Amino acid sequence: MKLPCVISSGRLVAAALAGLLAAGCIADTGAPTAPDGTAAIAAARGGIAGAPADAVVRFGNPDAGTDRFGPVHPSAHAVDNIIPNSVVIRAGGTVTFEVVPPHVVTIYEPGTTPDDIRLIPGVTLVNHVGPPGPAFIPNFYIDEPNGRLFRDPAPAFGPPHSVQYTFDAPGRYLVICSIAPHFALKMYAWVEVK
Amino acid sequence: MRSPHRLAPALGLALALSTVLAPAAAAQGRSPADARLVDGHRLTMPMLRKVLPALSAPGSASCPRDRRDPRSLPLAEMTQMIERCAPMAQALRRAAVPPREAALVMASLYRTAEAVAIRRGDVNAVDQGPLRDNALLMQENDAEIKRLTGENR
Repeated sequence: MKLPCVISSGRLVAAALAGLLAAGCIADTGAPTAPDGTAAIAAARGGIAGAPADAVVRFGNPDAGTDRFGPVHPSAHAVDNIIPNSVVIRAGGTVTFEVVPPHVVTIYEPGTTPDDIRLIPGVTLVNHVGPPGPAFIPNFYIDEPNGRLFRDPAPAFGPPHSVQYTFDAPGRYLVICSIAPHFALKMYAWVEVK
Repeated sequence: MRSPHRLAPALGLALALSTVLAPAAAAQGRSPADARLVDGHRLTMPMLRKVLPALSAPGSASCPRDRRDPRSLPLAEMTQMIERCAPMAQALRRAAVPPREAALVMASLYRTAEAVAIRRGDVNAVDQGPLRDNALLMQENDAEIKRLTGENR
């Protein structure tokens, strides 16, 4: 597992990203995130012959304003959203997650599906009583260690920040928000590494 | 009968107030009394230490759950759901916490997260009062709260 570069001050994210870029820590993707949250692929500099090297993902959608119950897309609520919810990068590429709290970026190894994540012991999105959809799960943070590669160590209610993760091996990685009600509302995304 | 131009200021004020108040009430989907109670609730670590482990007590996985948005459930219905779940209810009884208090704690956690999210993740931008204090408490006790709600107990 690669150590993430964590930028702790939201106000300085742009400047810090520029600094990291200058330092060669990340690539400037210049990638606009999809406003509708559909499966958009982040464009990236250096994207030769297929998948781009890197991507930027917005983890939480502050632009939703107070319309936080209006779904931006069917699988998530407006603010509890990952945009885009699917990116493709090359092996060895880095994804920068721009976190607008309160959210917890958590990455799982390829092969892990949302149905493998236990919200509480014995309860996943599919096996709890009743039809699929939101439910009152009396828990706040998910702690599913099986297949977990990374969990953002920054406080969930800390300042906005960026966190990076480098994906070395090909595969389809599940990325979730570990806040239980957010995940229950399907706040998850995919990073496909070619 | 009042003339229209005298009514206008009052109408304007009412409209302005409804603009301010409506989003919170609509988002909560709860009664105004419930919404006030949740917004005015102050989380404390001693209470979280009791409630969070109790609500995911072993055996609670088999309890039925309300399928509506957890952030809009009325407190009375959240309370009933907890009361009907024997493992949770027993764990709360052992901790000397009434089910309604546990429901209020969960609703407050959800509401606090919401309040921070709509302030673009800036805890300090949340209006001064219980919601901001709750967010700061969540920030300051992040590691312990994650442990309390984790499954590796």
